[in-house]
Amino acid sequence: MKNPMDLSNKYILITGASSGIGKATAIYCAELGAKVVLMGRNTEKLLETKKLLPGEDHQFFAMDFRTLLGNSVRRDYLSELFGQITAGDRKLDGFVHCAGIASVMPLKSLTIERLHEVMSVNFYSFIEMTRNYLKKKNSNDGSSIIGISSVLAVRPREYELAYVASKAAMDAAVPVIAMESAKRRIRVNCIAPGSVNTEMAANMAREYKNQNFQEKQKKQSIFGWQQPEDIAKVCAFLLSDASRAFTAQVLRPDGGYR
Amino acid sequence: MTNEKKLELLAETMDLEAEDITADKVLSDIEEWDSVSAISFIAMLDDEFGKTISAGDLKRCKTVADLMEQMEE
Repeated sequence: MKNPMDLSNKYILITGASSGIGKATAIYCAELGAKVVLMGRNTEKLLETKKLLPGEDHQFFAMDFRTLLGNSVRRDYLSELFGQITAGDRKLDGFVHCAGIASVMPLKSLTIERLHEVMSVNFYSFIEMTRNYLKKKNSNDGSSIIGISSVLAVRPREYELAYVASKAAMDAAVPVIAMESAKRRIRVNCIAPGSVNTEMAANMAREYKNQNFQEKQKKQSIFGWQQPEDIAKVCAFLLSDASRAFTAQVLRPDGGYR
Repeated sequence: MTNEKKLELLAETMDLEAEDITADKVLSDIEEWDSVSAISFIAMLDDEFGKTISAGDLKRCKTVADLMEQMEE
């Protein structure tokens, strides 16, 4: 039987793979036959994710974008890392940027350092990773790049300027990258979920110190809260040949956000 | 900087494999050498050599060796 979302023998790089959407995406892609490279901050958690992946040959690398893209950028670090990932002429077929941090901070307290931290993890890292991915030695023609954005980029909330701006920047950058990589038929898209049941969302509720946060968010969407697996499936779709005609798009698996 | 390292940087600038570029190659014969690669070359000169190149100097570059000549600190 034909499986249009088959990822057999595809080699997929996923950031933010130690928890949430990144973890779910890694598992789902491996279930569809992909070889996965996991990246994330926490080695132990990455190891946990790796144990949950069916199949062999998956790898992981610990990486903290806050230090990498902080005040002293190590320009060559990522290109060396890509060298390791693509050792033995093994090129990538997909890149999913799930790394992201939430930030609740009123503007009056949003120092440039705090803004820079969120932009580094959520946006600069996406660009820097994509730039390295797009080198011919690192990726195959016809492959797929996905940035995990957020509904908040177009439906902002107060006190989340850094997060909102970082995701809006991603939405804005994607069509530009898509145009620049069209010659190699590399597709570049965003997925903008609504409320997803992750650790990040749980921390967010705590930061708001608001008992009603969960309930309020639920009412915001026709289907209420989404699960990380719901987003993982959309990632798999965009990584597969089933989505050959999609580029420069923002897909919205938000359960009908209103 | 060694010529080998220079060729490596140029290959990266044009997104070519290192073995696909040699000093004697004529730029107009390299498909990847276009206006976008030229901008990347100008940026690379700035990043690696702290140098700016005039449009006239760049236009006078006809071969890979000419580009390598510009790559001095």
